[in-house]
Amino acid sequence: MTVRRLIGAASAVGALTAASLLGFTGLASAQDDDGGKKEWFTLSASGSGDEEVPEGSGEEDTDLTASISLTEDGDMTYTVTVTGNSETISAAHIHKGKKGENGDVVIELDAEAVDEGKAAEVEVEPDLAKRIIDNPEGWYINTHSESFQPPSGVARAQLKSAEKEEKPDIIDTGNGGQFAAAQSGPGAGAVTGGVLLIASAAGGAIAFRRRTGDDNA
Amino acid sequence: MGVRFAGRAAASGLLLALVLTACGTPGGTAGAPLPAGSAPAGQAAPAPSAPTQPEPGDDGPANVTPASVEIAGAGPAEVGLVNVADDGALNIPKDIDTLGWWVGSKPMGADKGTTLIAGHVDSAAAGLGYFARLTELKKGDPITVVDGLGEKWQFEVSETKQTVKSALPEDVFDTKGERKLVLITCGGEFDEAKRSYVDNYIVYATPAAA
Repeated sequence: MTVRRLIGAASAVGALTAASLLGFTGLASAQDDDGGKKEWFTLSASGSGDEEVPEGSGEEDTDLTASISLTEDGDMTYTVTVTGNSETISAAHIHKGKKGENGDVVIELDAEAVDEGKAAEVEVEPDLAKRIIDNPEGWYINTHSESFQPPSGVARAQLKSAEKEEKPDIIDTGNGGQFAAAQSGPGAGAVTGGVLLIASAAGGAIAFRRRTGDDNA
Repeated sequence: MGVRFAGRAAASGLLLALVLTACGTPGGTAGAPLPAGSAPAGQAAPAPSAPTQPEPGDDGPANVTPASVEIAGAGPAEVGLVNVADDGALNIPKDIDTLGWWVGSKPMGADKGTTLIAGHVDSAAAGLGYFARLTELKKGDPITVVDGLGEKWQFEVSETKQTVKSALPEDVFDTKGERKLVLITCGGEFDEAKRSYVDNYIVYATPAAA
């Protein structure tokens, strides 16, 4: 069964061309002859400018959060978000290297997608995919901007299996009390509906706004 | 699997149309991507003619992070990636209309386990959040999730639950059991002194039947 994937952003083509130069398979298609569903492995990464090597070379007050899903056949999707950065993300890579060590680039990521916090996909060599799946902690994501060039970067995060992520102790999503007031007050339903209509309209408005570091806690 | 497009040049006119028409009930098939027809907030519009129903013998859909959630009666809300902060709390986006997908949970396209998305019920600074509507959802109501590459995934509400915030049920973190979507916000009594809700309100949803 042939799976054909097209990436619309022109920059993605450039990034993937670079990836091809680094020895990865092309962007257009991937062959899978097993006839069954592929097994996907999900990795995550959370880091900051403080994790750049050498110490102190990253951008202060930046955070990086990422999710990568990949198969042993080399299919890979990813979303990387960087917040708090002062400049456009101009390059992003997955490197070989343990925490505290710099290493070679093994996968070129779509810098525009990373800058905007959007999902993207790439095909990598199956052998490399297997090595990353087997030992995610031996690889890291690094991001760069005009002022934070390799070997350092804006923010860095070590990969890990998403299964190993620490579960949240608490999910706290309200500090205003307006919802409780609307639920308990006279004519609560109408009040809630009216305010929610406004909230919904505001939600639509964010569709037109590029995500910034201010959007995230 | 059919052709999938992942462009990101969002057209503001199209997004406006989506906001204005987002209250309709989306159609769809069980646990599978739906035909493209709307774009998540901040995401590119998928190609309208792209067939996305998996074919027999297909190698299955890609696993991709969620990009937007649309619940009945509201437009789509953008979803960002979130993780646990140093104090143990899930680091929900400050924007009350942006939701957070926990990176330790399952992405869209997964066969098993839970996709956990949390969002604000309200905030002192900005009023009611997108997830203030969660308490209006009833069993069978549709929820549509669009992943970051434009595939649409249809779920139906299967259960709602209100629990003490300090004792989140373990099944919201399950990564190996039945496939489900979990939406979480706050609810119940508001503690004025702590400026915090006592409970969490949880909506469970399963892949929609064909």
